[in-house]
Formats: sequence, structure tokens, C-alpha cells
Amino acid sequence: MSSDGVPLAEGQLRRRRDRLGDFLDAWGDLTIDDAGESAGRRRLEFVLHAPGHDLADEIVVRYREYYRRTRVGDWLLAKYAYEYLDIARKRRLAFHMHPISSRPLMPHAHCEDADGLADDEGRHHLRAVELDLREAHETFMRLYASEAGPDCDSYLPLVVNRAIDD
Amino acid sequence: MAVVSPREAVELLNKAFYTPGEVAALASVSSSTILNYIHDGRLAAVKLSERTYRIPRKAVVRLLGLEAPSIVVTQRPDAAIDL
Repeated sequence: MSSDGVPLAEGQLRRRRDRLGDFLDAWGDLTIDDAGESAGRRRLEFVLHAPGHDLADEIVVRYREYYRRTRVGDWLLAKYAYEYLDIARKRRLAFHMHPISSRPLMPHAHCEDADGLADDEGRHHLRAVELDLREAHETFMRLYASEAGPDCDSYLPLVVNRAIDD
Repeated sequence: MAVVSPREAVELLNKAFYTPGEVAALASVSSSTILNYIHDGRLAAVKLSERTYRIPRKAVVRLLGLEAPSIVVTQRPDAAIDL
């Protein structure tokens, strides 16, 4: 998947949803919400509570991907929000890609104190590369398994308006 | 030896992550078999360093056949999504 604009056919998107569901289910209690297909603006949401079962939540992860239907009926990624909440440490790490200022799709991160999963933008935009959901998940699970909170100081601030052609 | 039900067995797995050696002991296979499962993609695991893996509890439960996949999928085709 890429912001370069490679659309997915209906069956490809459904297979992506189901394969990601099977992949993520190995990590905790998973719910999937597939919304907006008829309206042409679709959101796939995966919410994972770990370790799962009857054990108290230690982390909650939420992955949201937004798609816009193209004229030929395929689905084009419009933006994403991948969120990791470390409940014990009350820390949030998020990888987003959406428009910022005049930039159409800008991958970035958020890293901060938090009491819960955020629906809004954090206080600071931080530099990050574009990630697929599985890449974000690997980063989040490495943090979780290493029993370490996110190192927010390791992220540089995002400078949105810097000229990119010079 | 006391017989442990699948539900009791699941409850005994009370850590978030297990080492390949721990999973091998639980599954009565060798550690190299568990590493093969990880490398084949049959067993979920996170790589912490070159030779250190951690396997999430739910993957262990599934490997041992104690619990079937139970994914809840909600489909709301008419929902309004804001882009």
C-alpha cells in the first residue's frame, strides 16, 4: 500500500481486511469495524486489547485506514492513523498520514503522555516515514515485548513548510 | 496427574509473552521447531534482537489448540465516514 496512489479492487481490500484480522488476532482480543462501503468513503478499523482473554489490558492498539472509492470502483488509501497506548505508563505513540497545511499526505508521528487513545491530533507533529500497518504493528509490539515505553525524545519535530526542492 | 481442562490451561498462561523455549516445553516440541514456526510465519512473534524472540500469549493459546480464532467483524456499509 502506498500514498503513490495504487488503488485496491474490492476483493483485494476485503482480503487485506481478513488477512490483517487473522494476523492481528494472534496478539490479543481483536475487533474489526468495516464502515462506509456503500457511501464511497470507507474506514477499516482494527482494535486490539492485549494480552487479552481475562487478563487486564496492558496495551490497546488501534489501526484505522481510510479509503476513497475511485471512479472505476476501486479503493484508494486516503489517510491512516495507527495508535499505540501503553496503559501502565500512560504513553501514546501514533503514526499518522493525512494532509497537513498545504501538504496533501504527510506521514508523521505523535509521542506523548496520554490517558487514553486519542481521536485528535497531538500537541506536536514529529518526523516519521510512511508505514504499512504491519510495520507499525511490529514497532508497537517490539515496544510492548521489551517492557519499555516509547522514547519520545528520539523523534525529531516535523517541519511542514520546509521547501523540499532545495 | 491432574487433568487440566482447556479453559484451565488457558488461565495458566498468565504472561503477555513467552520465549521460544517456554513455548517448546508447553507444546512438547523442540525449540528449533518453534523457531521454524516463527520463520515460516506459522507462529506470531516479535524479534527483539538477532537471537531473541517473544511470542504473544494468544499465539501460544492458538498453537496449543486451546482456543479457536474469534475475530469479531462488524460491517456497517451505510455508515458516514469523514475524510
